[in-house]
Amino acid sequence: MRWPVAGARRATHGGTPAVPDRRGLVPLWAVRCAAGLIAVLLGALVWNGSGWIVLPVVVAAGAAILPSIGLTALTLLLLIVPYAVNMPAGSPWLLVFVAGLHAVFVLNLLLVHLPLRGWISLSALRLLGVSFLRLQAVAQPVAVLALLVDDAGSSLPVVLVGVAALVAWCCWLVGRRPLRSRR
Amino acid sequence: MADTPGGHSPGWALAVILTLVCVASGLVSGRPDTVALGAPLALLALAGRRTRIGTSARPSFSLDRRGQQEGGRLRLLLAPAGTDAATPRPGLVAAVLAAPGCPPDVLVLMEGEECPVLADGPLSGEVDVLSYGTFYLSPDLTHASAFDPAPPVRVSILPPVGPLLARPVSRRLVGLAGTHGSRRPGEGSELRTIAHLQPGDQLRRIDWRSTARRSTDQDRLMVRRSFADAEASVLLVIDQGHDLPASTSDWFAAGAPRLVTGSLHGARAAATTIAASYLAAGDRVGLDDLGGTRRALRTASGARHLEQVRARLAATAVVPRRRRRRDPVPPQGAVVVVLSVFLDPEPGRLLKLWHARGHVVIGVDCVPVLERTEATPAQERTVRLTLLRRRLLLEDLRRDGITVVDGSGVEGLLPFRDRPARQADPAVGPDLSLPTGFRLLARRGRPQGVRS
Repeated sequence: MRWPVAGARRATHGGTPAVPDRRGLVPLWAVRCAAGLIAVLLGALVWNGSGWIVLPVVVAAGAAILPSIGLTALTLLLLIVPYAVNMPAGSPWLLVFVAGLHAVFVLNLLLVHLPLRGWISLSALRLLGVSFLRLQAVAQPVAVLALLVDDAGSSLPVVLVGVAALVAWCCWLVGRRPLRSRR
Repeated sequence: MADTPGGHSPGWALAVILTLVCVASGLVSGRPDTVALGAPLALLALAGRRTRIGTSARPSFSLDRRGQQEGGRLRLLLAPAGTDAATPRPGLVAAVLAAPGCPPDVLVLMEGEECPVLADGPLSGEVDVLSYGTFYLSPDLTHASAFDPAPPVRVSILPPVGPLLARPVSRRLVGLAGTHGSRRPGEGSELRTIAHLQPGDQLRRIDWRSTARRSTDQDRLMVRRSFADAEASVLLVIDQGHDLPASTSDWFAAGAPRLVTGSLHGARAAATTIAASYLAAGDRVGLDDLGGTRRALRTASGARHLEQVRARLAATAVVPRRRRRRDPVPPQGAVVVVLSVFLDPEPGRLLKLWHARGHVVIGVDCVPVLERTEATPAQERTVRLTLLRRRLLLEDLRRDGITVVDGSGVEGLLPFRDRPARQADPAVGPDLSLPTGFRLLARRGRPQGVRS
């Protein structure tokens, strides 16, 4: 799917666009700003004050505006690779990064499908949020375990206890019945 | 960005690739935290393998009658068409909307959610007010269905009825019942003569006062004879060949169709007002078009016929003229009203033809007050030449004694404050408004001593 970009508006100027007539809708530019802002904040952490920060900022802004899966991939790579290179091992920022990368991925993936202008309902955002939290419920313990392994790599019992706790947590999450079917 | 036939989407593939990058860079640098960065992406890829997009029916728009006109805009309701029972959990539905002449906007809703939308509608007529299509997204956004375009939302707005007009009628009325006094003897309330009783005269027609006055020996009875009452017939002929917008730069606009009010709305509104004026008095009204694309609406009377006329007028759109095998034939003694922009000789030719056959003919000029907004000298010359040609055609009609009135200000099309601008420039069109013109014609056509 390809949508006309901003230039097309000038070319076909003259009509009045259709607008939704209810509350509880968030304009898409807010979602774009959020996606770009999260990517820029994460980039500011990992690029560590380098002048090259301009590059991920530009790419993140482009990915938030243009419907391109390539720019989305580039944005995420420009966060993952500098993290591996610049961030010290065992940094507590890992937890923030795991959530932030996931959020950037989800928001950019949402925007890739959509034209430039529009609205998203709060119910739809809530659904996305619930889906996000379900995955974070597993990803954050994995990140904690990774930090634990990094800190106490030589202590086998600590690692084994951590892995066992993670497995038990995952089994409980998977095994529990969804709220809807419980009702 | 829809899923491939194999069931994988670009989003899912991106999650897999980024997971592999995280794992590879973690293994190379020997850092478990870098591997953990890919955990949410790996979980997304795992969850995305099993996710399937629900096959819910497409949501559809319907006109919300409760709040149909809000600030001059139509209120349309985007309602879900029902969710498939096999859908495991609701996803997102994205409705891409495009009003005429506008780039697309999107509305992302949860499946099953409804949302009213305000869109511009025409003042009258039948047009597509909104094009739209939908696609579905899974809750984790790793899968998307293909874009499904829907038929555009089409609305039909009946033309408005303006204040009733005076009714010029022909002197050769042929109807048998109505409110107009004809010039032929018959049943009616208008006195024609007082004469001796003849065989065939009704007894209730005996005028006892005249008998007492004029038959001194009371041997002969006098009766009152009257003119017959008759209804008038009116044939409205609408020219669908052109729809001139008020802004002259729009004459040259190409590309996507836009909702621009033009001369056709003026013609619809004027025709509806004329039809309502005659039908309110019990006269008969018919409707035909110059294009010859549809069958004429036969002359009839009554309130239901007015609704038929309005519905037929609402369905009029710009249609190229076809070559007709023969010209339309108005009913005998009918008033013929031609509603046109008079850009070509055809309406004038028909007006002259019917005028020569003894019909009362009236031309209604539907060109709105023009806003001269041409962008180039070539456009300016074109507009000037077009208006000059129109002026010559209108002057030709005036020389032949055919009245052409200005029908653009009947309802809605023109604000009243713009009227002097039109009158100041007689080259643009006639200076006689529709109500004034009909009033003058009704007064002129009324026979002496016969009521209207």
